[in-house]
Amino acid sequence: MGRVIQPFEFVEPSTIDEALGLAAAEGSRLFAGGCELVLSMRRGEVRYRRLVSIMGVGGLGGFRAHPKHGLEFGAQVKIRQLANHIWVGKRWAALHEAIEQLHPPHIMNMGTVVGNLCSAVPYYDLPTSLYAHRAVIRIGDGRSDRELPIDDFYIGPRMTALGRGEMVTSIFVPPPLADAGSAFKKIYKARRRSNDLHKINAAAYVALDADKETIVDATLVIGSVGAKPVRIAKAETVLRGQSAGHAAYEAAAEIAAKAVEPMTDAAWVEEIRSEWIRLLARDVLEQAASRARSRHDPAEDAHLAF
Amino acid sequence: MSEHLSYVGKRMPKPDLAGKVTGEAKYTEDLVIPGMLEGRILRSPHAHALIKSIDISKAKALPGVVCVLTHKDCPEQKFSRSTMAEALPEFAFSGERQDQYILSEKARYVGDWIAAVAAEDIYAAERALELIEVEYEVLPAVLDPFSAMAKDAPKVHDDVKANVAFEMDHPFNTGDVDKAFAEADAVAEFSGVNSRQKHLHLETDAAIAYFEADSRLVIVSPSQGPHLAKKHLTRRVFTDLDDGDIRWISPTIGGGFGARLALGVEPVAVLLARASKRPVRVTSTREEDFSGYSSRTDQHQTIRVAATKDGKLLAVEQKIVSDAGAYLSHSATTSIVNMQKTLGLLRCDNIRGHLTVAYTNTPTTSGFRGYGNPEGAFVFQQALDRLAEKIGMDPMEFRLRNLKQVGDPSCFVPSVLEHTKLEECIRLGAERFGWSQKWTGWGEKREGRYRRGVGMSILTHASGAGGFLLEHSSAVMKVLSDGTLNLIVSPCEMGQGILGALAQVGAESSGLRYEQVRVTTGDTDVTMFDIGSHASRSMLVIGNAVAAAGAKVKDQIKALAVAKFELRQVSATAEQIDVREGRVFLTDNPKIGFDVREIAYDAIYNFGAEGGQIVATGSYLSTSHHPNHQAAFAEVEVDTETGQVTVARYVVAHDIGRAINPLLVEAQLEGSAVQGIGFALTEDFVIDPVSGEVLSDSLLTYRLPTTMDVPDMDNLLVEDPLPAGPYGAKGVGEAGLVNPAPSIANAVYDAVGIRIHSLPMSADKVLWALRHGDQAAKGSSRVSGQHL
Repeated sequence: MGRVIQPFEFVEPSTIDEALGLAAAEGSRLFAGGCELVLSMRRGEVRYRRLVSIMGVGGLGGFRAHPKHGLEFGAQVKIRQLANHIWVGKRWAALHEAIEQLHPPHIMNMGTVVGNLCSAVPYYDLPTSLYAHRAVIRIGDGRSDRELPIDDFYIGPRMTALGRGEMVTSIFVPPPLADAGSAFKKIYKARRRSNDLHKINAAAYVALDADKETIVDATLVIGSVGAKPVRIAKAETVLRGQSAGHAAYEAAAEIAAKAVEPMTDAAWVEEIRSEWIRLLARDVLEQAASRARSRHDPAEDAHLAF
Repeated sequence: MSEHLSYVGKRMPKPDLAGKVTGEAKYTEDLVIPGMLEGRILRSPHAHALIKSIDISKAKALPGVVCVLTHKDCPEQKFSRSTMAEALPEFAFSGERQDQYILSEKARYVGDWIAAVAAEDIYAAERALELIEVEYEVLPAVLDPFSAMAKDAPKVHDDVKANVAFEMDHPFNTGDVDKAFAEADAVAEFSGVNSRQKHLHLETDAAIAYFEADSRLVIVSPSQGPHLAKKHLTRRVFTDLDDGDIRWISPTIGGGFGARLALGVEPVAVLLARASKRPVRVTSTREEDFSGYSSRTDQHQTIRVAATKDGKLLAVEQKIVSDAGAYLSHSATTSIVNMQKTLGLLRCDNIRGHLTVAYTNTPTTSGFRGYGNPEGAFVFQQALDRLAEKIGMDPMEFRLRNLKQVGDPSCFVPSVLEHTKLEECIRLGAERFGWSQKWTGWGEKREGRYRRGVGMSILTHASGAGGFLLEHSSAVMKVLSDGTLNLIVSPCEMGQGILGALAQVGAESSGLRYEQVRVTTGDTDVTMFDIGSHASRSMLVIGNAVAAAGAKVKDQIKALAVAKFELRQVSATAEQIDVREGRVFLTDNPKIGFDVREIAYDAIYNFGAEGGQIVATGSYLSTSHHPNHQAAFAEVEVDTETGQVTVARYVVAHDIGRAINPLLVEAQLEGSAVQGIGFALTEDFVIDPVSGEVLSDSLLTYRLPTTMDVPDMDNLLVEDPLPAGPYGAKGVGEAGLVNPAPSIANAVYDAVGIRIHSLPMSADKVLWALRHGDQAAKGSSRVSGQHL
């Protein structure tokens, strides 16, 4: 049920130390774009007396994308900035597709990728795509930094591995292999039970050998099916070493459909959910592989990177 | 006389355009009354619970809180949120149950109003809600009408037996239905239920109440019919007040779609204003709008139809079980209108309808654009297609053979059908759509992942409910010294563009300039009595009143012009003079004339002479509902792997009489078609089957169609003036929402051979039906005893 948001203090410090110090107080927290925060506050799920914006902190706005060095962006980087970058679209297609399908477009202008990740909303799209790209989360406390693979970042519903006095400073996404592609897809559905979600998303990364005939590496992720995105490790193992073709993707998709836990007690809802998971898994794998096949050597246009 | 029209039929910009585009338009939320308190309502977290006690002491002690009220502070008589009863003669609808208090004495749905707070600011009011301690005794809840009517089901209202809120036979049942079914060559049946579509007006429910120095009550709220709301409020809620004690102002309204035909938070605002002796504004959030305001009524229906083998419709039988939610509001009336429009659409000698409305522990439902017609059409038009399939006939041909003709009883049987262009609509729409090429016969098997199919649907809808509702309206016109026409009319501008269309009629009929029409509306102290903007009535009923007033203004101008011409040495009688576009001239020599401003100015600033301002009133009483008609054709593509349905093409032909402003008519058709496509495919209002909570409680989970979902769409206007209409116009506001669901449903069947029995035809339902084949597709609704 909706709530009128109570007045709160807004602060915009300029250093990480200061920001973390301010946010440590009872009833305070950090935020970036605030897109999810406003919604949660309006729904009465959270309330804060003080909101600490990180958007004025120095050193968090860095952004570079290079096909050989990888993609790296700070906590202040807006979703729109990534959407507009040529290399993100070319080499991190799953992330790009997830961004492109965000609506309304205002979210892209206001929201940050790191904020989107940190809100740990089970049905968000960017985490799923970043799972596929095996992103690394860089966490700082003002003095030291640590790195965490995205797989270990979510520890429960709306819960991350961030400790007290820590914040995500940037994300690093490793460069894909030379002959690799990725893809993201989602499907909207009705929310049928209280523990059900209103969509399912999926992302895949497929790397082929130089002949583009054999799968050398793969990631398959299904999101919006529980507290956090689910890596289908068994499918990934099965895909590795297989010849790149429909049969391999179909088989991996079957594994995905079986691997995901049901969310409701309604049989018909679950029947459709697992069928959609199968379709999404198959389609993102096909799409990722097709991109891997059509890709040319990134070195050829590396000069475009900056 | 050849007809000359200066403004009617032209694509003119709406007068309220600038305010809407720039954001200058003032809505209830924008208004500030000095000293105004902010009010909020505490809502029940339980679907069904007794209130053992309410402790308001902590809330009252909070600084800034002025008053906290509960059911103990409410007037003792019950009322219905629906204001419609006031527009009906007593005998016609004594059955509208007055069944609720302003604040409830028992929680009947998740979101039921339990207490109200007024505070110096909205934050204090909000905090106070959390400090109200309510002790509930949770009761078992009934969440669907069938379990509600089952033996020993928990009672939503203690004084209502078996939770049956309302029951009736269709008043126009006729013929021997059983005999017709027994003798028919073919019989078909279809059962289905529509969803609780949300109105989702952009402006959420709000109201301001305050007392003027002379203790007169002023209410400001986005009401679709403030005169009727005032009558209802004084007759049913605050019975110590009378007509003259209230001034009701509807400012700019952020969308209505029928929701504002019911009382919203106005009674709470009045209650708080009375208690605090201060102006109070009560507001609600979008989330509260989802869980507690109102929606379309879900009507479970079984429709049986019978025909001869050459396609003559012999009988139609409709059984409806409607789910009112916790309180009756508009659910019974919309269901009655469903029977009227469904059973009365086609020529048929044997019709039978029966309606039951049940209470459940779910949010109250209400009237929604189309008012029963879209609910019925979804089921009826599919039943017709099933019947056409049984006799092997093109569904368009089958409908064409059974259309009502002029002289037949109309869908509101006591009045005769005086005008219909439905056949022309079907033929024109079919031609544009390419029906004869696209329709390839019954049982055609299609291959591949993406399969296309076509379907159609037709409708009849009212232009007001003359002969049934209190359909009269009046308009006032005064002419200012510069020739400006001040047009004072009742309809509420909710975005539908009616003020623009009425301004066109006003300018046309009076002979003044459209650009100089200033429309005043929404204030019951200024406007004449009128039952509000609904039932596609405003254009016909109020438009006629405006035209009548305009004719009088023109006559006055002509009479005054005689002397003006004399001053110019021109001798002319009033009959030889005409007025158009702000210019007075001689009919047989239009070059001789002058600006109307000369007359308008002298009429007011006439020192020493007799006379007075040019002013006129016009009234109109509608005695028929003057149906408008429409045919629609849809082409869909079904993704058989995901179950996703996409509308590829949608063609509509509408019997409009005459389009006063084709731009606005097309906008109405387009807007309602998109709303209809949402109703058909994506707008899924889901209530948790255990807790009774609304699961689709935000725009994230309740998916409205966006511009990206709009198909390739054609809106064709069939213009043949209705003799009784202003310049021949009929209504158009609601009809567009009726045809999308059934035409899309019929197209889905054509594409993949399955029928979905409940709206929306969401991808999961379609996929499930595709995987389970006939087992699902043959299912029937629980109206005839089976599960969907």
